[in-house]
Amino acid sequence: MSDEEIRDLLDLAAEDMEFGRPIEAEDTWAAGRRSRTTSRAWGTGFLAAAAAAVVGIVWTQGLGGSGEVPLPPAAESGPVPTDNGPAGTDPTGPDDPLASASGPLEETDGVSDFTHSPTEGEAEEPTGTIGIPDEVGTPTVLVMSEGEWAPSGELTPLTAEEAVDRRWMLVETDGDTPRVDSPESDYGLTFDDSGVHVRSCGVDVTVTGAVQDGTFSTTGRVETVEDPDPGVDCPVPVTPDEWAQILTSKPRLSTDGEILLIAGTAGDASPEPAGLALLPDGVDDPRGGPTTVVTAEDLSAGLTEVPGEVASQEVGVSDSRDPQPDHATTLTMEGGFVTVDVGCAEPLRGPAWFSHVGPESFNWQLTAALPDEPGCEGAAAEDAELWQQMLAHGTFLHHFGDYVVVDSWADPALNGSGS
Amino acid sequence: MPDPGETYVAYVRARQSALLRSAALITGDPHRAQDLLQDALIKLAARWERVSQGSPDAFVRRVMYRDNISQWRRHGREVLVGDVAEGARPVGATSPVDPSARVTGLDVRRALLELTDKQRTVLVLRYYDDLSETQIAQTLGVSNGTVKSQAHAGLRRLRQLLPQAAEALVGTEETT
Repeated sequence: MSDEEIRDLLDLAAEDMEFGRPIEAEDTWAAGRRSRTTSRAWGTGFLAAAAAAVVGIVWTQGLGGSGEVPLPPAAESGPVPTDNGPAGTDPTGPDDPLASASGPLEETDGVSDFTHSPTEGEAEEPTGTIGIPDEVGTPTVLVMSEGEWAPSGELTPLTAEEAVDRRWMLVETDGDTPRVDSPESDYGLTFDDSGVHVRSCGVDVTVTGAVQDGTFSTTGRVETVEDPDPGVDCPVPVTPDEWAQILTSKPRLSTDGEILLIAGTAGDASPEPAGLALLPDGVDDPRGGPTTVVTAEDLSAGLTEVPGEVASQEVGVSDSRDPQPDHATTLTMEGGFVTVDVGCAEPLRGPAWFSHVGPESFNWQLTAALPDEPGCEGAAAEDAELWQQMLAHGTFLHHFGDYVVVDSWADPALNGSGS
Repeated sequence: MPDPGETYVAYVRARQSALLRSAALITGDPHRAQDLLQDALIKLAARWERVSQGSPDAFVRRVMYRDNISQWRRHGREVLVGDVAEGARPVGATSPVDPSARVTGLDVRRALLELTDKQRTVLVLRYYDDLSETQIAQTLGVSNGTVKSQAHAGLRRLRQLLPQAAEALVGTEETT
């Protein structure tokens, strides 16, 4: 009886809702099939390139010029007010939206294959962006700079007004000090009323669309000039296809006033929720507890990963990843750079921003560009790629008692024993 | 062998209304629900040959919930729980409800928006979509225990928010 009455209540709630026109099945069918075609055209051989695009993309070749400008460290954020719910945790608590309806989307009934399955004989020409899923592709972040300015601090969503009449160049982040070449006259990434244009040696891509509230949304076709620099032998670290896919993935655009971060996706991977738990150094008897925000001071003091099993069972991280159960990865952020030691020859290090990204006080996010060549193999390399992707996507951090919960997205293939 | 396009169209025509209403109850925003469903159906079309062999409903639900969370992660919570139609106001901000008053659909929708996202999702999947506890757990990527606890907490909160319907909300927890 009670179950039926609850059903009646929900039926009542649903019955008088007003919707727009019914979805035309023929239209979604056509769009879905077109997206297969487009994905195939853009996806070939793209995964490896996408990994390279996550960080350390060098825009220097073919640009000429010698005025390389080192980028000083970005400022870190201040403390954040408290929150009322753990991120990425299962426990019943709270109202934290990050904990809501999240978690890994596991294989069920053979229907969770989110990767496209191309059909032989389909056309190769990109035909537009309709139907390209938002969250398909490896999380990818590109660091851009206008060259004359240094990073200055916390990121905010790029507005349409901020976007126009500016020209950003790709930043090389692999070295100890990020560097950007001085702009060529017509090279770089620019926005105008019709969309975004990227020009470098061997690259000439235009994507129609608009910047709104920190997101670039496409409204039309991608136009790519084939061989824009005939006869010029210039390496292209980010290919036109890669640019097209990143810019049509509804990338998140953030700026600190001087630096532009483009956080999108590229390739055919289907990222899924990824979480893990860290502990401040020196905590011997960790306890779960009230959720509070993570501060820049927490990050600078150093955090150490707890085993995936602990994250799952004691912290309640529902989508825990731990490619190296026997290794405790450490994370530190100092002077605008994050250092993640997954056990490779050298720790991963890259410029990072810890920023308030949403309307709520607890929406703080750590975004970083880590190098794509970790200098190791096996599980450590997998762990490195996991961190690259999580931080490229921008990961939310929350205290859950002593623990710090990392809540992000990553390729499900990076799936350690803790998941 | 049936044409995949035809079977897909038949599926969408048969199921879109139910999936749409379920998504609208969870998001609280019919228009956002429609966008979510449309995107999910496009993704379904791209994988129809494989997915149609299993459970298309499960696929669509999971894509919608994932995209819903994805949108939140990109843009903040305000897009996860949208405005309720008819300019509804939070239940908690209103005067005490007359227990004898008749419960309306708007009352229920307001009350649902007072729940946490996970509580609301679990209740809708359980009592509107008639999914089993295990199916809900698989859809949301959580444990059966979490489904049970979220349902318990959600029903308890609904009882407070909808005293007119409190009697109907008693006793169901044991069956979740």
